[in-house]
Amino acid sequence: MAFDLPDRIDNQPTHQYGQYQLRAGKPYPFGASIVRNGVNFAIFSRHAVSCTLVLFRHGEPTPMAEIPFPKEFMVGDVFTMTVFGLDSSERDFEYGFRMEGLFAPHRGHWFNPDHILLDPYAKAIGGRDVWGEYVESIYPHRAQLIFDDYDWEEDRPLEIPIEDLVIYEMHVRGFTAHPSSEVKYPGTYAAIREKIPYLKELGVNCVELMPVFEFDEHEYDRYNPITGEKLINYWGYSTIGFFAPKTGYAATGRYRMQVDELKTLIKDLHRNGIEVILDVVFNHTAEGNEKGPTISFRGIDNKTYYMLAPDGNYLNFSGTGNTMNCNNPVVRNMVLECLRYWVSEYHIDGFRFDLASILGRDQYGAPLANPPLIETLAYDPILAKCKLIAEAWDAGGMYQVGTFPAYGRWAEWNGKYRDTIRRFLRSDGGIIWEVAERLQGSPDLYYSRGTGASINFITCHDGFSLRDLFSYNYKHNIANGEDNRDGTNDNYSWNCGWEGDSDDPNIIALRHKLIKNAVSLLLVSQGVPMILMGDEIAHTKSGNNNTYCHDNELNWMNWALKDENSEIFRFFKHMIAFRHAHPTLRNRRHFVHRDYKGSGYPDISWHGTRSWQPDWADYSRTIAFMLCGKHAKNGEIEDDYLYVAANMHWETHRFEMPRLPPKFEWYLFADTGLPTPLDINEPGAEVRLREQRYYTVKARSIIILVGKPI
Amino acid sequence: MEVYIEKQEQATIIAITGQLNSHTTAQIQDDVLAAIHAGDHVLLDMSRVTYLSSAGLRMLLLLYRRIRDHHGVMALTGLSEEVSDMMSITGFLDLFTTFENRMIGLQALKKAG
Repeated sequence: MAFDLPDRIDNQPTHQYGQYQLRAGKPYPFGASIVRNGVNFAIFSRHAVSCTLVLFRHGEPTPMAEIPFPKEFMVGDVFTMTVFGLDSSERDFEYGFRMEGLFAPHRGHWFNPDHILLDPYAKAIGGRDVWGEYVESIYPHRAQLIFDDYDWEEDRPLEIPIEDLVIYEMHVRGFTAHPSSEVKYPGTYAAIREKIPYLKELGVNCVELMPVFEFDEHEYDRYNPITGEKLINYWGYSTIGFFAPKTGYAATGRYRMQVDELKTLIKDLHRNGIEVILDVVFNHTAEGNEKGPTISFRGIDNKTYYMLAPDGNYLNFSGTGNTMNCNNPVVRNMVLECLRYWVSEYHIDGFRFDLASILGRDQYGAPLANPPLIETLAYDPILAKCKLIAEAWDAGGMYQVGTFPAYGRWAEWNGKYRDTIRRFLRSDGGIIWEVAERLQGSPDLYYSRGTGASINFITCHDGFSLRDLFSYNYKHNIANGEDNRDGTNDNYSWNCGWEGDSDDPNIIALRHKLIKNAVSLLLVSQGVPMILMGDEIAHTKSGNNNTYCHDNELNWMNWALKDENSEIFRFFKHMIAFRHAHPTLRNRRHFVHRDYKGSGYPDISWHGTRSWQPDWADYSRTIAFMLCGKHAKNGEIEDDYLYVAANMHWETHRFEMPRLPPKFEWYLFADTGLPTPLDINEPGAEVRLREQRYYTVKARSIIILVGKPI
Repeated sequence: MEVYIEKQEQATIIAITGQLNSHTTAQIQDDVLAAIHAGDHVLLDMSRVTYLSSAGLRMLLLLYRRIRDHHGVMALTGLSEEVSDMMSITGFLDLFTTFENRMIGLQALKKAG
């Protein structure tokens, strides 16, 4: 007999459609999966009547085939089939769906078979393969298959305790797009890898990447009123596919190897002791409101995926046009599966959830007391070790800093830290007691949750850069094309006497000092410090506090500033190293304000210009504290004594230091009132003070002392 | 696509010309496996590969590991800058042994015994 018999019957077709052989598919997992001899497709729609699989050869303008899902293959609300003979080895094809059903926007339905729709579970998305290159197409964002065959070698997530992190918030493209970066492939994942030595030199041990899920930088149709340039969705807070990395950020996007490239970056960051947190945007999508494009969710099952008013209008708690219906059980599962996928397939260490309060709203937008999605993520076995960080507010008026449902897991971007410390830095009165709370990890907000609940930051991508915080009183957002209406007005900034850049040496010196004050407070605060990319070299966004739409020097880190502002870089570097060197700055639980180690000092003590006499008056702009080294890491290990005195008053004050135990003396680590290089020392190389009793702290200056054995 | 095979004392040199993608991987794999025996060393000359796709890379890795499992050594040589960058950026380069040119490759494979 000359027949070749197949070894199994279950991987053989049962149906034929044109030249394609088919078999009933598996309804789970959703998306496209490579199976023996073919590809299995599964897509959910509760309200569609029928669905057709549309296949393209890679990059071709018109489909190579359209195969309707046979009715008899449907399972529940899932259209599924296995298609044989598709060449999955090269992933030479791309796929989408057409959905038929009711078109009645007032009832929430937007079915239109003219649209070819992107699979919400697409693991790779073509069409925007190279950043900035626009390709017109009947199917602009195209689902592709990937191999889950990456060789991670020994890698796994690092699981660094959250209070030991120093987070660096960065934008993939912005980090190296500027020619001064001198990398081979600017603006890519690969280029970050090339710059790992820089991150190591700075000393951060965690990078938080602004959105890397596929988005369309070309989504706007607006122009910069100053230059006439087309505005770009640069930040990427506008997801197209939750399971696919941004292809245009990959140097190898044109080879469809973005998945391997991003994984290689993550593996190499891990090898260098740096964790990776992703900024994820589940609150809305790139489809916008009824005027936006139909890319995926709207055409697949609008009523399931979006929050709608009874008249079918989109509810807008995100401020961007639509709101994901995150507490619909189907959408909730998608979010969960997405995060599980990034943890298991990409070894991601944690997530920061953009406008996370939306995840706590029910299907009609009302805040939930016990939000199932937030609880599910907190208890999920696959997410068990990763960091979950909420931006604990939304554009619909929910503000949950301190009250976000945490389930013992969630941390928050501490917006109150940012505002209070900014006000203190510009010498506002009436807040000294609140400054003390913020420096201690905000026990007033998080006492039961520990210091790790507080992500402390003074600047982030939203708002002024640190240099601009001390260079502008007002935002300057005209270039955004929204008549300067966008961006917050609550900047708590101070221009030091001149709005914008100045060549007055006194103003420059003052601004540098205020930058140093800011990073000093940030890195001696209990909680988890987060630094904004570029602040360490005094990057300016020219007073624009909402640079979401600019692919230019407003957002590109200018590497030449590292030399120009080497004074600032050096200060950052030493401050970060100081934090890593002193566990007493990184307690897990909050202070208890007493001596439980028998050292003679409480874990933290407050002081003023007189030791042991802090000045809590409304007019006070000075505060000092001492941390007892015997109480480091909640008493688990020993460290030096630390003393910090912050004089945000515009006059000099003489501070009396608390007495140290016998045979201990005070050493100067930093004094922002001194000119560089005296302003800071390498940790471990602090300078012994001749005068052990008093220290004169200059106006608007901070000193940090180390108490160690003679 | 063409595959040229040249037996030398130290190793079998296999030169691939043209595109290394899903349409050519099977043929290349067959040609190479037909030309070698267990324990043979293989030097794959890539200097005339005009395009290396993701599937092509994965085939190379399978080949590399198959030969290693049969007590041989497979090495790559003649990687263009573009191919070498692409392999490096995606982490594949670390998984292979590579040599700058044929001569260095042959010498090293001779030492490998």
